[in-house]
Parts: sequence; structure tokens; C-alpha cells
Amino acid sequence: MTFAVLVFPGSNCDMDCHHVLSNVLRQPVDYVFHHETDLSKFDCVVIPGGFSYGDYLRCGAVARFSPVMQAVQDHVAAGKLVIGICNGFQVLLEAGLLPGAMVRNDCQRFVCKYVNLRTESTDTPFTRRINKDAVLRIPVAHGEGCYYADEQTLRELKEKDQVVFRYVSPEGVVTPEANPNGSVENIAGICNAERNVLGMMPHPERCSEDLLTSVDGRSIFESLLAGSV
Amino acid sequence: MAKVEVTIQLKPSLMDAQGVTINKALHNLGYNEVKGVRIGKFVELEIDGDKPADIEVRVREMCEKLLANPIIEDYQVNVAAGNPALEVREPRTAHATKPRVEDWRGFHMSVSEYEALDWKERGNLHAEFQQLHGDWIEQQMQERGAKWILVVEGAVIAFGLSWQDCPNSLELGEQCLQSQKMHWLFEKLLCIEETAWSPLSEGDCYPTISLEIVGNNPSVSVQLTADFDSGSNATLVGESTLRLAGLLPSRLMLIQTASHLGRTFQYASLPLSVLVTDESGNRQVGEVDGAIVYGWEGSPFTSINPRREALVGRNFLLSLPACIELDGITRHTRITKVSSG
Repeated sequence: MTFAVLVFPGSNCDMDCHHVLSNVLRQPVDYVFHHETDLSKFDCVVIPGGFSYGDYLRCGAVARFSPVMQAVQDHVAAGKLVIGICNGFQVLLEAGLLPGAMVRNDCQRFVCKYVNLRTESTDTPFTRRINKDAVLRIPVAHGEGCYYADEQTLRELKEKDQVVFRYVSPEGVVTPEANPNGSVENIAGICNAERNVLGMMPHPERCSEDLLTSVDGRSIFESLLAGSV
Repeated sequence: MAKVEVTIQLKPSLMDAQGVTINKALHNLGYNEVKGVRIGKFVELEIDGDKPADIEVRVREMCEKLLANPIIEDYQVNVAAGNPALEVREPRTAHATKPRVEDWRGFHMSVSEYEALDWKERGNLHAEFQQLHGDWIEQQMQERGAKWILVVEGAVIAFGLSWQDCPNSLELGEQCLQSQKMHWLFEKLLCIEETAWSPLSEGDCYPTISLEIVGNNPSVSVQLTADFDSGSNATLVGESTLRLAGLLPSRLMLIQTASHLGRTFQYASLPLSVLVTDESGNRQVGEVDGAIVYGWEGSPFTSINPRREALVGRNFLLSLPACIELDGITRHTRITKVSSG
């Protein structure tokens, strides 16, 4: 499976993603810069975390209009895979590729810590190797990760099983204390109705090696590969 | 060159974490009179062009696409700001400009074109006029002391000093069809006071009333459990409820917009025959002015109580009229007397 890692001015998790995909999962990976317009040779596009365009105006608002994002739209329309992590999730929301929006953390702080995620849907290419309700330990690092969607959008997300991850207690229970940023219904990650686009605030690329405290992030990338054979 | 100011704010329904923090900081400084802070963005644009209406349309487009995120933010565009070279609409007070034909696509609209639009588009059209010519509308109402005005081709052809004589959507629709000219109704805002609108928490509930809405043919009716809200002077029912019950006239309905809890909604006004039965079994049918809300399920009225079927306000109580006892002990509503009883 060939991966593209997008690079915007201000991306800072691009090298981590590249490292995990190439050195841990042994897959072909290329960096693709924001001004490029062709993604046709890739199977999966990773939009990494960071502060694209300095988070000016709103997180992801400017990146959304860079030339490569038109190519991402075409890539999605062709049914190919996209995963947006942290700032990448924000870019996908601003681009309208995922529903809802992101606002500032309700606690007003930049939150950087490990959180527990419950896998709500395993019917996606990103989670098919994970057991339903499995709790993953994956770190977050963001200031604007409070997911918001109006009632109707929320209803649709749930009806179509698009909520992929929720913030939970270590025991796997949705509680207000487990919610690091005030996201509506503890939502940490969602996919689109066609199930080929995933956006999540936590960083699976930061916990995919034995050397680090958790390897839970790797199961997401391994799920992707499991479908490519 | 025109200077345009845009202000962008989080929608009122969203918690503004920055505002909350600054509110606290002001209290720490001793400014205890501060009761709320909301923080937004201010954007100043320098733009080539000399027609304010055109500039405004373009800037609104910029807001929708980039400057604001309409899912979470509202914005205001002010073309006037500090630009004496440019002839612009005066802010409120002074002489508001009469709506110009080229300003608004609704002027050129034939009745059949309007009929081809769906409810959302009809509502948008009404909102667009209000947005472009809000100052003018307000001035017209103020000059006449009117509660509502009726505008045809940019001129006020009728107005009313009370809501009692305000034509409903059905009557207006008939006037449009007869004259083949679009009639636009603008009212002083549908008054929904925001009292007691904190989310329903445990131990909190809305008083309800059972009622039946009946058609001209009494065998056609729909039974509803409505939330009773004395803070509202309007009675609101979802459009689909009435349509599915066969109670909605198929004839042309003019659709208007208003806002509640900071969100816009689309509605048509229509008299409803409402039947209630008191505890002695007396039945009373009364005519209540209803606001038929389109997209009820996504409307602000169901955001607090998603199970809500309808909302009855003071006009229900007064038009019917009925004597109602709200019993907080048993949490039941008793209709103790209707006027015929």
C-alpha cells in the first residue's frame, strides 16, 4: 500500500507519520507538498498533525484551500483512503470531507497527555483489525480539539455508525472526566458515510513502537494494511 | 476603494471558552458588573469597487467560504466603515435607502418562480430581503407605528397596527396568485422570550397539554402532546406533522424566517382549529394563529426537548380560551374549564 504524507507550512507530525509507515510498517511512503496537485499514485493519504499555516483564522481553514486539497477531494471521490490526525482532522472538517467543526478546548488549555479511546466502530478500513469496544491508549496534543456538531448531524453520525472513537475511562466508560476537551458526546474520531475518510484528534503515530509506552496506535495502520492484500 | 469590516463570533448556542476565562479575569480585577463575555474576530478588508450592494454580496461569499465557519460562527458585514468616498447605506437611525430593484433578486420573481422553490429557498429569500433592507423595513414600521407591513415591488401597500389583522400565509398566497405579484410580509419579530430556556436537566420538565388539531373536515385531525410555554406568544407546530395528517393546504404558502435561541428557522403562518376537552368532558374548538415550522426536527424548538411535538404559547390560552391548572405535585396539566363549559 502506497502512502502520501501531506506537508503544509507548519505541519510538524509529518516526519513521525513517515517514520512509522516506512520504518515500522515497511510501506512505501512519499512526502507530498501542499502545492502539488496529483495524488493518483497513492492508495492512502495521511494528513498529519501540526499547525498548518500557523492555525491562522481557524485551525485548518487556510490549508483547506491549498492546491493539494483539491487532489484530496478527487482521491476521496475515487473511494481511496484518507486519514487526518489532529490538525489533519481539523483540515478535513474545514474542507467539508467530514461533518461538524472544531472549537477551542473547553478547559482553555493545550492538552498534551495519554487518553483512552473506545473503538465504537470496527466497520472501517482503519479499525477492522481492532475489536469492537477495545480501549486504546493513544496521546492527544491540541488546543482546539472540542468537536462540535448540531443535533441533526450527530443523529446522522450515530445512525450511520460514523463515530469511530470516543474518549473513555481506562475501564471503557464514557465519562465527563475522560473527555479532555469538551467534545460533544466524547467524540474523538469519526469517519464519513462512505467510510473511506477518518479524522481523529489523538496521534496513533506517536504510539506505534515497542520503544514507546504504548503500541496501540499501530493497530490502526495495521488495519489499513490488512485490507490491501 | 472601499473599506469593509467583518465581525465574526461563535454562535450563541456554543460555549465560548475564551469568553468564560476573560469573564473570570475581569471579576478578579473587581469588575463584578460584567455578566458575560464573548470573544470574536474583527477583519478589515480593502476592496476595489464602488457599489456597496455588490461589495456586500462578495464579502458575504468570502465569509461563507473562508472567513467564518458557518457551522459554528455568525458574521456581520459592514461596508460603511470609515469610507466617506463611498456612498453607502446609513446605519439605523437616519434615512434608510429604499430597496432598489437591482439589489434583490426577489423583485424580479414571478409567482410561478416562487412556487417552484422549496421551503428553505423561500425562507432564504425572505431572510435575504430582511438582511439587505432591515433598516428600511424598520423605518417603515416605525413611521407607521406598524406591527407588520406588506411590500409589493418595493412599496408598502398595507400595514397593521396590531397582529390581529395581519394576513396569514394562506391569504397572502391567494393574493399573490390573484394579482400575479409577489407579496412580502414583514413583521415585528415573532416574540419568543428566552425565559427558562436552560437545558432540561434531571428533575426539570415542561408542562404539557393534550390537544387535537382538526381540519375543515372534522374527521381529519391529529392528536398532539404540546409543551406549554407561557414565555412564548406563538404556537408552533412542525410542518411535516400537519402535512402527514393531511391538514396542510396545498395552495401557495409564503414562508418567512425568524430566529430563536440564535438560530434561524422557516415558518408559515396559518390559523389552526384546535380542539381541547376539559375534565368535565366539554369540548371547545378555538382558532389559534399557528406558526408552521419547516424542518421541525432540526429546528431550535427541538434542540432542548427532542421529543417535543408542538409548542403552545400564550395565544393558545387566550384565543381558545381555557382555564388551565399546572400541577407541579402530580406533574399533570388539568384543563379545568373551557369557555363553553
